Amino acid sequence: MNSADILLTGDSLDIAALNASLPANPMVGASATFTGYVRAGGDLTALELRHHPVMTQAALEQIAQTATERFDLSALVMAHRYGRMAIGEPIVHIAAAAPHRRAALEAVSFVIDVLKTQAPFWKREWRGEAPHWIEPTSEDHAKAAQWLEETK
Amino acid sequence: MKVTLEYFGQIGDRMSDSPDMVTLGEKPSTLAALINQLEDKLEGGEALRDPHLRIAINDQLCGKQDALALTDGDRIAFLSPFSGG
Repeated sequence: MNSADILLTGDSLDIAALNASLPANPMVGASATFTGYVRAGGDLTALELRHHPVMTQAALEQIAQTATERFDLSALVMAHRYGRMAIGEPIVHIAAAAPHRRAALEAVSFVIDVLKTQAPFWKREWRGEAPHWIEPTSEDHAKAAQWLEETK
Repeated sequence: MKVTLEYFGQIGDRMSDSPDMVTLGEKPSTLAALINQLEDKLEGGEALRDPHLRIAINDQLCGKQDALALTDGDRIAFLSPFSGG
């Protein structure tokens, strides 16, 4: 039975625990993971992620359902932080398990590319005491559009 | 008809001095008509014309061309472009 677990949290992500939460399944031939971290740059001191109290969870569930069906996944774990994060902290983690490697690898790419522009999160960089909103890049939009176009 | 206004992301900074509730006059039947009314009522309301904003009614995203059927107490959210991950 296919399953997707979604974690939307203000607490630090425990990557090892998230990977371990993929259910054991003898039909799984491959798993793939992606972790996004707060990257140091210039005078960056922190990254802040805001979310919508209802719509963010719903969007993550929709993306997980689409990925699970499209890539015929055995299991999918999606974890996303909100709140303020220091440099080096994980922001997002995705783990996909499937019978074959291509499906697991592509599912992880799909989820992160689509999530960046389709899930209601808003990102602010903190440089000293000054926050600065970050908007998705044209490359972010192009990557998501590529997947979504293929879905039609 | 009174509606509640919500802002998420950068648009929240632009509209920080706006009231949380407004009373609409004629019931708007399109998003364009709604934004026209809000622009007249809200200081800085022209920011709501940004074509990159998404709009949600009671936590459901609206298509730009969708017909509106607002009722008293509805929550209208203006969402700046998403930037997760």
